[in-house]
Amino acid sequence: MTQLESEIQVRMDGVSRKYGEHWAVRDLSLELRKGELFAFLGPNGAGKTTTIKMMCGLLRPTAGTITICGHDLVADGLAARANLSYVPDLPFLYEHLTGLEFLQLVAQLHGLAQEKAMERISTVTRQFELEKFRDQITMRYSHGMRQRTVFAAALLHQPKVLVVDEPTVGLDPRSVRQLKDLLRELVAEGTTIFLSSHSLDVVQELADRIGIISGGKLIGCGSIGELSSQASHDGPLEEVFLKLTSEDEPGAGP
Amino acid sequence: MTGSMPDSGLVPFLMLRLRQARHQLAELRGEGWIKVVSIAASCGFVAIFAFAVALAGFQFLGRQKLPLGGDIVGLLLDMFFFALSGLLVFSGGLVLYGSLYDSQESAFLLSKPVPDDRVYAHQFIGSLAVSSAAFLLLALPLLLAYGLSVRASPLYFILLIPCFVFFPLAPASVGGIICLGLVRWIPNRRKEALAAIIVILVIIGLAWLGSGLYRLRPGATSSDDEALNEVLGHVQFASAQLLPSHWMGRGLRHAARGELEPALRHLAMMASVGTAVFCLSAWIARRWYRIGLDRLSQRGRAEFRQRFVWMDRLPGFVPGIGEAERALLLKDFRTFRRDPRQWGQMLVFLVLLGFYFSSLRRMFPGEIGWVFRNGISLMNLMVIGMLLCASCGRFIFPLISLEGKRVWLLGLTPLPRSAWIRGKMAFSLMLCLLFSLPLLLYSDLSLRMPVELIVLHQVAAIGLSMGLSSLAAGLGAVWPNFQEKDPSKIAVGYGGTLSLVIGLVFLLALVGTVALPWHVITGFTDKQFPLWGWLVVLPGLASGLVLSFLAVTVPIRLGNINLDRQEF
Repeated sequence: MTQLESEIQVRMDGVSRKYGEHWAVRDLSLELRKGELFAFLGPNGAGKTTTIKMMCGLLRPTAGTITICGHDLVADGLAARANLSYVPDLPFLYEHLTGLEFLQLVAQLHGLAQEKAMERISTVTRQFELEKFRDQITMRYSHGMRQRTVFAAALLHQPKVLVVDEPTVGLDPRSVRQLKDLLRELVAEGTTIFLSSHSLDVVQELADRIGIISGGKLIGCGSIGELSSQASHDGPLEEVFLKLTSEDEPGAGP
Repeated sequence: MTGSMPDSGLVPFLMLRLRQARHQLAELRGEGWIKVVSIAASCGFVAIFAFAVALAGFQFLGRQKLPLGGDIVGLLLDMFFFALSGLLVFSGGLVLYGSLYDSQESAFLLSKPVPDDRVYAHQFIGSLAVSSAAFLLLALPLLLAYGLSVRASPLYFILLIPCFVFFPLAPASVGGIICLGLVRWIPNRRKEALAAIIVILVIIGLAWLGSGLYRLRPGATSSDDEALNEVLGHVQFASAQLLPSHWMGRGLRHAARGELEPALRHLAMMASVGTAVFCLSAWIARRWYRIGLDRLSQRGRAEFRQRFVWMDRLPGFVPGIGEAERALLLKDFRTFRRDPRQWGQMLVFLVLLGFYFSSLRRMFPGEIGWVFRNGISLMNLMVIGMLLCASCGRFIFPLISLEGKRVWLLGLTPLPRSAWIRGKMAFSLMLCLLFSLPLLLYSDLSLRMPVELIVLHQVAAIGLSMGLSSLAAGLGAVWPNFQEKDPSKIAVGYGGTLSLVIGLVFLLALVGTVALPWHVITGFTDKQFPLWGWLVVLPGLASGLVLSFLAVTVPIRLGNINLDRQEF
């Protein structure tokens, strides 16, 4: 295996997914490297959530394969999911547990030894400033508190791949700033991040590469410069995105 | 650190349950002693009611010189456990479906490196607790009453505890296997498959009842003993040697007699088979759960097409409600009719009750004494009332809580919040009247009861339908649970249990005032209703009307007040 090969943390090879007669994702091939932040953009119903669910093992591809750190998600799901963390757009917490107990549960589910779990819990507690409310029942948390707790839980086992769906929804500007700093730090430490978002300013600021999906097909992939060339439009990401996705719409002009 | 394969077994899940229970108890304590006392009192009331009814039943059998430790009562116990097993298969499977395929928690756990069978086992334990709550509350008092009636040895009472832990395992696991299989193999037609299973069960039940009635047709039996033997022979299947429900009944009867070895043998067989079936269901879950979840999401998006259904016209005939409430009523009715999980159990009960009532006339062609007919008629009214009470608690009480998830829609309409409750009440009333009036009329006609009693019973059924509907809809707004989206869990929660108890008290009070005086007077006067009897019946009827009025107005008023104060 070459060094380049060993650096690939997520590989999607000809991935397609069908719902009834409708293809939600068609022939998607991607490779994400270690320490890369890949942003995934697309209009509503383009296939972003389906792709994320397939990456997390919640759905199986109708065709093609997905490997996480070399482990096939269907054939070797446990090992693949051990290297991955997922932060959904609607954060899930057990309403009748405290934040600390939730972190302990996630550490146990990931099989962390007790000593290591304690150490990691205090690290993420400090990192996400959870000290003030970690002993409260999560039922009483605000959206921001919930989001921080979910992020802390997702990073407990130091995953090699982090999948994040719409992380900035409902966050105040300070929290968004902190989130962006965090994502940068994680990337610098070598974590591969797959970020799905409609916040084009966040994507423009953070992403190493951007994939644009429309009608289930990957219609553009590369740096902002490469996407601009593809769209033959030199402007902000918003305009490039709109141009590429409008060209892909049925009935759009040549 | 990542990449390691965690193997902490079920420990995290057990700790999760314990911690959740601890915090829920602490919250309950924090909400004041009234809630704790009312929960305990509600459960106590239901248990004492069931205990009293069961004790009276066993004493009645004793007075008929029927040996309580003998084969006939043994067969009745076998029938009881067999019927409970059937209900547990059904309710266990339904609750588990919601937990496995329609919960955020399962999606969260499945994205973690946890084997699928452990997620299944975790959800199985939760659904078992929900689906067997009613079993515990009703079966325990019955078995205690049996133990006291036969003066059972202490061994019987000791063995009751493990019995209650292990008995639901096998039926609930069978329900789990059916649920996993339906979603795995026919995900797009699972509702139709469930409806087909219900229809098949109803057909089998009808065939069974029909053959029983044929054997008891007029002239087929020459004596009561022969007829009794025919009936016993017909239900003998419940005592089949390979049924775990039979081992439960047999083991407990041995325990009651203090026979340690056979008691332990039968109960150990029941427990080990239950454990084995659970392990089989977990093994199947390891193979089918994730595939089923995947196939469930493959449903075609444009599969459902709106069609005209004559039943949707029914809400149009409900008088006294505005157009907006009618629209809400139609929405609730459509949701109800499109979900066989909601009406499946009701349909089974309805058909079985219909056949039971029709069998009354055939089984006792004129020879049955007036006292028995009188008693059976009253009992039938109570049975219908209890079914209404249970159905309102299960289906109507959670409706306001479920609206909490859609409050952005209803809350922004120019519709007062009181209309939400009126809409639910009208929906419930429509179903209750459709269910209770014809059944009760059929029962009384089958028993050839006098016209004045038929009228009294119909008035009682209308009062019950109105009162129980208002209690369920109104109290559903008094004690809503906007956090939970599973209606079965809302129904067995604090408010649901309390509402059920209040409904039962109302049922007893209404039947006690409207119908009981007539039955008692004619019971003593051998069918002839004396003129002075109206001096008792009419005030009773008036009291019943006042009770119904209070049951309709008070809960709706309280519900309106609470709903107006509610912040979402």
